[in-house]
Amino acid sequence: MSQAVPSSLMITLIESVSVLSDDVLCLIFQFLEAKYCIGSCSLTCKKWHQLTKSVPLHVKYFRINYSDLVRVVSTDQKLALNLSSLDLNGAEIKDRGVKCIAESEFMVNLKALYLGSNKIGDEGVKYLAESEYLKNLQTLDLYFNEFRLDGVKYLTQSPFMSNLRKLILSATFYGAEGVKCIVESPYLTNLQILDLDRNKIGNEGLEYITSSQSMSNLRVLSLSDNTIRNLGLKYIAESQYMSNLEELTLKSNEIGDEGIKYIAESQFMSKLGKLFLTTNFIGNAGAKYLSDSQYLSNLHTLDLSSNQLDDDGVNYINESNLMSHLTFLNLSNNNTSNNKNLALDNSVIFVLCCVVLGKTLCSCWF
Amino acid sequence: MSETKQVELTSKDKVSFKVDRDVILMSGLVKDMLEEGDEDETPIIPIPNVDSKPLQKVIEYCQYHHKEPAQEIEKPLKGKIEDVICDWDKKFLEIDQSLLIELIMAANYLNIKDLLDLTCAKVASMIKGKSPEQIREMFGIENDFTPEEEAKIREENKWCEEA
Repeated sequence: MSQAVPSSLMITLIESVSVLSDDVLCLIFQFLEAKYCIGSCSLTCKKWHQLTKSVPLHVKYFRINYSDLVRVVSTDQKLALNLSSLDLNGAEIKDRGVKCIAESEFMVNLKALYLGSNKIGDEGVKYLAESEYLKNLQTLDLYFNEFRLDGVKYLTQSPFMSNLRKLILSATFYGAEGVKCIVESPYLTNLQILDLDRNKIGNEGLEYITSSQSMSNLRVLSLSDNTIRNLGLKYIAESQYMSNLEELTLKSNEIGDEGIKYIAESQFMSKLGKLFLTTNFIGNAGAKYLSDSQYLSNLHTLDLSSNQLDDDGVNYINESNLMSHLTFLNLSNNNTSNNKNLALDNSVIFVLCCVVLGKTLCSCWF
Repeated sequence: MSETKQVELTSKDKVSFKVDRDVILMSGLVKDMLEEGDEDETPIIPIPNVDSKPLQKVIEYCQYHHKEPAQEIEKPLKGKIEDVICDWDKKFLEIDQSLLIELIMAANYLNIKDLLDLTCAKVASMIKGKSPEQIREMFGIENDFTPEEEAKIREENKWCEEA
């Protein structure tokens, strides 16, 4: 096979991005937040300046006052029409700010809206739900706001929310009833990512999720701090609708070994790549179930920190097939002896003590 | 019964590559060409816009990803590119800048969306956090603004500064 030797002129040309077509440059810009795309790229040369004027924009504000928000979403039409994602997490825009976004006809290209921690009440969610301009939203983040069940009802009954793929409602509605609204919504049938952390949904809420066909596209499910017990994991394990799950987060629940057994022996968990189980009641038996699982063959990330494993539990995992595909393992904060009676070398002790373990550490394990 | 069907690609510098048909179907362009052509034993497809070096990388990418579809890279890119892609892709991107640019052009021409996304996101990752001057230097871009024009744009762009 012969190698072409480009002329020196060719090298100069190729090293410059000026050979790239406008479409490709625009694609590059789309991966950048507005502060880089507009803030830096538009200032490099006239061509880039021109191109950045038509690129979908990702805008983030940590704080924004009302008049600036009005300008960004409704007055400055050219800018607003380019908005593709608007991140106002923690910006305290409240219901008034939400109203201003929801009523802007220029929001039709908006795909992602982040409104976490903004003191938004039920009224604010109603504005969002009733806005036909937001019908292209694919991502909606409303974590930690002041709305409750009524807000969830507005949202789940809105036909304009039917393109949502990612929905974050953690620490909002508190109780299983809110979950019922979500799974029974005729519009929220394309969800791939659902985050309902800190909502006290309990096993009952989990039963709603796992028995709903409209949840069958879920790839990522996060239900930390929801008083979920073993039975809840039985619901997950036995649900054909959960068979697309790639990431499951169940931190700070009340899960014991029996719950882990359901997951480990479930034929529907074969796509699962990440499993986060920090701060539960999992002991050696749970570690053994995971180690012996024939279905968790795609698992690459496992967090069992702050549980009740001792050295035996660590040994089960260490000697299992899991180790051939895990690239991240966290076993910190368990009942393991730090330096005695371990049939493992020193690198493992580091594993037991440190908070995070990357692939490199895993490799020195053996 | 039948062996895996193959396709022969010929690069701009006239190097031939034999590739499994299923693998190279990741290229929208090749797919379209194969659909309209007759069913030769091993069809020969000229790729007159792509040199052998980037073409080889493209084939390498398709051979891996036709079985392991890439995860979509979110826009905007969260953190650095290395934070959001698989180990194989990280290793794949350990190439010099000129090959990276050639690879972008190849992915665009051959219409391989995931590879185009990956390589463009890599360039975006390189741009992140750099000043306009640093970006110009990195990519050999000539500054064609007058100082007055530059000042005016800076003023216009004030809105995007994070509060």
